[in-house]
Amino acid sequence: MENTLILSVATFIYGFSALCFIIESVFNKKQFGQLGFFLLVAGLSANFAGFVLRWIESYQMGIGRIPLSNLYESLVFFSISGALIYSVIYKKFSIPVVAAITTTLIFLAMAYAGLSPTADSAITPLIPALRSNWLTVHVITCFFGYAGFAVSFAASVLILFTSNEIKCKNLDELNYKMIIFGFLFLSLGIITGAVWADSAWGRYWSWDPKETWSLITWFVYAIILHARYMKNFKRKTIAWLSIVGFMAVLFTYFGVNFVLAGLHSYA
Amino acid sequence: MISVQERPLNTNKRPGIIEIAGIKLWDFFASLKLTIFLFSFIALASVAGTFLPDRIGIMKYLQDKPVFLVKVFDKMELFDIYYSWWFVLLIIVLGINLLCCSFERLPGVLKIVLKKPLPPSIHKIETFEFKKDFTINKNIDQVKELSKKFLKLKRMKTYMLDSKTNFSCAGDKGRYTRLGVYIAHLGFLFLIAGGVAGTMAGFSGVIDIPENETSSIVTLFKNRGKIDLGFDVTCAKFEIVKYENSHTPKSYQSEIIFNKEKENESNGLVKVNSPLKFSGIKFIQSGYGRVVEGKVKISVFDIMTDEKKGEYQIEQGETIVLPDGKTKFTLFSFRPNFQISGMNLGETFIGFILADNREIPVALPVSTPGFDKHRKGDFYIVPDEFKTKYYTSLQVNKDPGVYIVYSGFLLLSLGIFVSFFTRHSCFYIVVESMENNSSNVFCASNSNKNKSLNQEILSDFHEFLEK
Repeated sequence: MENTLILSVATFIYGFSALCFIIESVFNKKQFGQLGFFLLVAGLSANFAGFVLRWIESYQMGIGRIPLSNLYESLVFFSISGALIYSVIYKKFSIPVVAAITTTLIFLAMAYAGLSPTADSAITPLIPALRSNWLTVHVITCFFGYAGFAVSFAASVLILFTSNEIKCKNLDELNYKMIIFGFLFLSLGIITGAVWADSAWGRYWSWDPKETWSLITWFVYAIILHARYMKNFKRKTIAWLSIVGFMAVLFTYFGVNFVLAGLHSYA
Repeated sequence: MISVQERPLNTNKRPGIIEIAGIKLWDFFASLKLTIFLFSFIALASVAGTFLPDRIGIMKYLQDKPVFLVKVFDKMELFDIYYSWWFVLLIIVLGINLLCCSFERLPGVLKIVLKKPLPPSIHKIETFEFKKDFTINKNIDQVKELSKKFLKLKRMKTYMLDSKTNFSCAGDKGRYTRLGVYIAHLGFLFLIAGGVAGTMAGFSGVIDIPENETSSIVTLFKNRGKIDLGFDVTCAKFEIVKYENSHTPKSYQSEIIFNKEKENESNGLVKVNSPLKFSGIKFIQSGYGRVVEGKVKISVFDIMTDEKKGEYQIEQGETIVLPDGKTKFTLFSFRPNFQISGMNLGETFIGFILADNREIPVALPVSTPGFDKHRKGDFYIVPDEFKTKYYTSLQVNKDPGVYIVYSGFLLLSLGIFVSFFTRHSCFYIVVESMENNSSNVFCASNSNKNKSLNQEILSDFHEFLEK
């Protein structure tokens, strides 16, 4: 299948992009940063092309559905959202280490999609429970949220190691912006999921592990957003909370499927 | 108006213990610390809930003989956390906390929201964090027109005050966006209220109806018993739609007829992802299976000679006496996929043999006629002929809180968007007329978030006037 070929090419481009940003962070070479950004955009284009091609191929196979319905496809879409968000904010927040961490996460997601036996790349028909227009809105909103949190995670990690006040303030702004972006989309993701569950399973909420973990994630970020209004709350504490939040995202995304059983077993 | 002197003096009188307690209690419920504590606690309890087994599972595992720790956990409702009294209480306290916080802070915000900005004095401009002043080679009327244009361009509402020698104006936009956070909080309260209403006044269960049969009894989830719907539900037809050239099911659906006394008959199609509503109750296609229709023909053979000893037409639940005149056989049920020690026997009849006052369970798989020989009785039984038909499995829900929850969803999304992605910004201009057709301009910009943009707007304004 051609889509998986293009997507593996995208994986490599992302890998080189991450490498460039790492070199930029370590050796402080600006040119590598520019090359890294160029490669990030190239990777995003290939990634998106692969996504569209996969969509077309599913029609050629007579299945005809948007590729957003299993672990492989969700990882591919996560990379698209992450690369897109970072490309958009790059001009305003070109912080090499944040770029390096974000692109590494994107690369790892794609590599995991390509290599892991649990992420099957075959295009299969949709099971009846997933045949709904809500699927598209639900997956897109959730993964935009996850991608925003991934960038905020990268900024938070750096905050912990930064003592320079101006740099720290800039990182904190990036962290906050990505968290509110992620929070809006996570909320929309949970809400669209609930509306979908109501129409498909007849209940908008059933405390399924995936649902519960998305709510836990939502609570962690809600804590961060409220903590900012409290006196004596330090940037580093917020950064730690943001890291905890991203761990919750990862557990919601992967952990629930591998550790806990539930209704939401496709991805 | 009461002047300060006329006000009753409170300072000499010490506040009573009830007043102090009242204030302390209010402060407790209106504090952000409580919010953060509740968020954390509810999140942690939810984490625990995803790892702890459910009550039915653990009791089955321990064969209804729970050990001490399990008994303690059970008392604390740890096997059903999300529906436990303390979890619900935490959520209600969170709701109260939210209300108190809002009442505490809303008046201040309303004051800003309802007050139109005043055209400032030069002195006032000096007090702002982001400000700028410059002299420009244009007369005061030109500057006035340009200022109006600029504020219009920025989509700000303008409030003016002018005289011959100077003019002052204030512009603002997005004053109401300051209410975004309250919209979000109201939405969250709706979610809590709707959730509680649904749990109190609703139910959730399942109803299985074979084709051409009627039922009105719903088996509730979580072992909560059965209830009668008060009207009849008939399954007229059940159908599985498959993908072209494939055995993978694409969808399945049931034709349903509702029949309620004194009301007209109503019918419709229940499909996967497309439920049907009748009398405030939702019917959702959740599964299907096969059941036996009518009588089952079984044959009884002698285990030594393989000779047929008898043929019977029986219904499920019916008992017959075998050819020896004393052993009894009861046909109990039909299982489409019967599993025994990890092996799937496929379509299987389950029954009981009653011999010498001992009851022995019997499995009769349709695809392996000699299977019953393993029981080593005098006879073995073989199911011969029978007909099956589909039954549809419908989830049945009543949730009177669902509309409150949906309103909550709308308010919450709107509120989050408004409170984080829109802002209230103000722009102030004071112009003094100078000699030889020039003017002194003092301006300031202020906003409740994205403060760095203020500097940009000030430069924009300067450029706009210079043009």
